[in-house]
Amino acid sequence: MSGAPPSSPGIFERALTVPRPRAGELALTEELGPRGRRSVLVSAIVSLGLVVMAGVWIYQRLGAPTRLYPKGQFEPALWEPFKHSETWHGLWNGLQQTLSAAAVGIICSLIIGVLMAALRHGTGRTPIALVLAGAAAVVLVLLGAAWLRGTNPIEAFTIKWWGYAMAGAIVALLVGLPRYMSTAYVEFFRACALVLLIASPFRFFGVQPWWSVVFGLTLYYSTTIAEVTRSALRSLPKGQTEAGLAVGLTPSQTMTMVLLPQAIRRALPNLLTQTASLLKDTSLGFIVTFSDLLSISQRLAKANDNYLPSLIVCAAIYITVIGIINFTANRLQRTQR
Amino acid sequence: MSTSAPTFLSYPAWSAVDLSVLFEDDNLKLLVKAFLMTLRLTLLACAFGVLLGLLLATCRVSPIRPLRIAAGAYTNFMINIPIAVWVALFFFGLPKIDLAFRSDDLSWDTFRSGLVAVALWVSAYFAEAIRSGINSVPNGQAEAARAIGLPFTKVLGSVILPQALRTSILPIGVVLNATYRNAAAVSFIGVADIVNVTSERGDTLAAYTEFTIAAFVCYFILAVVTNGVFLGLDRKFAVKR
Repeated sequence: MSGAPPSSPGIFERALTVPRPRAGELALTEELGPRGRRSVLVSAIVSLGLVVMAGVWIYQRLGAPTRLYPKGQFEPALWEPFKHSETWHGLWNGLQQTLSAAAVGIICSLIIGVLMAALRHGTGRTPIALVLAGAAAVVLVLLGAAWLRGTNPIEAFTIKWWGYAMAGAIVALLVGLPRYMSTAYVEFFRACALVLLIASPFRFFGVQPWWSVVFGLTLYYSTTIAEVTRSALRSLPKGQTEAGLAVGLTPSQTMTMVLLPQAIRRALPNLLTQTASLLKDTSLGFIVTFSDLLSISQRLAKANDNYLPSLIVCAAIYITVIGIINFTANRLQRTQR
Repeated sequence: MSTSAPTFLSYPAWSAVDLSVLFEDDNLKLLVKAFLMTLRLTLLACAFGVLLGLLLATCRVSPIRPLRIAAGAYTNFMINIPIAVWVALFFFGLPKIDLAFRSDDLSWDTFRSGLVAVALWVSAYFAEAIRSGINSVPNGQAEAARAIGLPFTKVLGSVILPQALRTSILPIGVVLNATYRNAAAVSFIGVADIVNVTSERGDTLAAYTEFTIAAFVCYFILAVVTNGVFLGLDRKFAVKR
């Protein structure tokens, strides 16, 4: 090595600047010279000052006396309700509603979504796919018939529409519909507004709010999960399918025993991101008067006249729960790399 | 028609759905107004959100650690809290600390709060889209820019960002498309957008089914047009790699 040795940055400098990018990131800077290091350090100190000032401003704003709250938002009386167990009991009830809807929603979405991805990725002519598509066709024809006739689908099952349903199913099997069916399902519900999907069962059929939320979330998130799983399936090397078929597995067995286990493993971080997103979207249940965490917090806020503290606690609960999911997703992504 | 038997679902017959109610009185006018309200709110919020997102993404890739941490914290904070909570915080919370006074016009108050909440919220998503665009630029581009002696601001502003933005056209379209639907959370505070107006009219006229179908159609139009525009833009401008 010739020339002057590069001066090593001190602890203070290292704490304020980022010398090396992480994996997967673009390297925008490399080892800086003394001048570059100095200018970066100066900007770091200035920006640190600005960030601290912004934080202090928010803190002061919250604590400052206002017209409505002469003692500011940190007044103990406003936070008093959070010392009582009834408040936490109410919040826990709301959180239970949110979490249970999200849990059932994500399980249903996973089942339907993975199924749709498998149907769309596969050849579409395996016995299982044909049976599924046939059953879906029967259900669709029955629902349509019932709607046209103004009867209950179960009632429709017992009358002559049964014949039409069977005819529809046979046509579906002949055309080899599974692939098109899952494509149509995914593309249709992905383009729908989630709020309306949640509102529809409630408004059209008088379904209970909790079920309505689960239904809407399932319809929407099964399509996003189908897309995530399908892209994972497509990312698998083609040799996997060929090897599965070569050792004598049927196409369905190849899908369920060889391809799907690998694809789901690969898609796991993305699936967790979708779970977090689904959990957040339970708050759209306000459209069907779903008493989730947000609406309970609103109710508490109105009762105790402490809007900001209540909503801050509500936001903190959301961020904790969703933070845990995201943390797990990031860990998984890192271990997979 | 046998509607007498109590069933497990109250199942409306197709014959009972009468879409002509949408064209009676000034319903159509109201729907168009609501459509424009959603469009205006989303486009304004996204215009502001893209700019703020660009700033946030720049901060997140800069070599200055305080900026990186602050931008990252902001992004995670915004993304991990549901939009409905943000809308409620901005509309009900800010006046409590004397930050957004109520004016005489309630519709303007709700629109303003909704717009700011959606814009700040969506900027985090734009920041993520642009940052992934930046990370998709090959390392050789930055190395070449540094090799010819460009300073950091020029490396980022003249070489990396133009390519990154062209790569993130489609992700930005996806975020915009999601914003139409998520901006429906502003109907929570009473902004007269598609969801709010169709709920309210459907309730007063006892025509929930018809108005919900109309709302679906409105969102479909928005989604199809936006998809078309952004696919076209992507075909024209995206960097082929």
